[in-house]
Amino acid sequence: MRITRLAGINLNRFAFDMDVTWNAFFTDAELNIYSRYGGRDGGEPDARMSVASLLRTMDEVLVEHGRATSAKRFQPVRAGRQVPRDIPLLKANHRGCIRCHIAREYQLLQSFHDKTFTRRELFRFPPPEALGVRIDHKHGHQVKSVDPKSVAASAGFLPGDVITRVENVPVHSEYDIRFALDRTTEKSRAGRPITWTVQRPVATGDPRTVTLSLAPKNGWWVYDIGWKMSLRSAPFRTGMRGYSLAPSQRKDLGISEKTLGVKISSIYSDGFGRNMGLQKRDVVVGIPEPIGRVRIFDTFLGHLLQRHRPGDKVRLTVLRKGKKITVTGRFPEWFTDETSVP
Amino acid sequence: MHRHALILLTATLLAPPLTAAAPSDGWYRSLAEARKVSRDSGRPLFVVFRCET
Repeated sequence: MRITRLAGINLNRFAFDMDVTWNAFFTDAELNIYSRYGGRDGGEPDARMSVASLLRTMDEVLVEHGRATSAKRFQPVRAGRQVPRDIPLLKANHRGCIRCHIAREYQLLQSFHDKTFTRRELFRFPPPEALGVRIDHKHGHQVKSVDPKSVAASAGFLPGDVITRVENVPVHSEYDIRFALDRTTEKSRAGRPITWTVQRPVATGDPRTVTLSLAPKNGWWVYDIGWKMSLRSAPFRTGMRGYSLAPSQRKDLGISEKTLGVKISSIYSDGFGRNMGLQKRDVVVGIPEPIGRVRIFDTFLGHLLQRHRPGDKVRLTVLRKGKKITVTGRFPEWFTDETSVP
Repeated sequence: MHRHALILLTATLLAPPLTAAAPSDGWYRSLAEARKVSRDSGRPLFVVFRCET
């Protein structure tokens, strides 16, 4: 079953990060969901997926599907039905086919105008490495490594653990984990520990079932979102335009390939740029620490959103007329006057 | 993710009976039609959201 248009699709049931170009669900005929598969990050779009892990998920789904009806484990879904045209701004302003990112952008705009927008909306479906758990993408839901000193290390996760459940979500893929983690970031759940069930290999015999409780800090769910097209409809009023410098331009200015290098091409309205006192032709080289090569301007904006929230004092290192200076200013309040998606 | 691999895998999982109504490339575009095939065959559905731009 291949879906390339979202019209008529229940977004409450088929919940996923609609900035991706590919995402899959395994269901029964009544659309009860066994598993979700997909997900990406700032790297290559398919880097978190593999044929081997997809086959494993399929095998596990077939086992689940073959169980007696009363023993089948389905994923919870949000009650009610919301199709894209239930979003008032989309219904009023959008004509033609509805692509996934379009629906997502209208959700963001609608939430801002409904005054329900929160920063969390930008960071939906966080990857497990935000907690220090790194998944083996050839397997799909086995822990490859655990970041030292992370909350996952404190909770007792070990490389080789196969994650089979997070809270009440059965896990057959990494995206199942991301779906489960997303549910834990809802306001009503904030601050509560997250319960994981893993199968832990032992020297002899069958793996041992282990339950782990992980207590993350508030706001743990931020991750790199600079690749998401929906950022352009986020209520982050930048009031500026710019671009990432090409390698030859970096060389001329003595900027390393490993350092941020974003040139401001215009300051056109109130917003982040004016708050910071940025000027046309400034080159931002740090915020303030090096963050790696930024490929596009949106990646820079993504980094800002990852690090700051409205009201924060922000420091930027800037090259202005050949001199390196530091500028400071406040991260702006959430705002957009857009009501439609380009 | 290679398109052809996915189509092959889809056929492996869903494997609807070969009828005149079955799509030639193995992919159903109508959710209602796919659900009917799933009910009739007793097999699960593999639902793919794909951006084709």
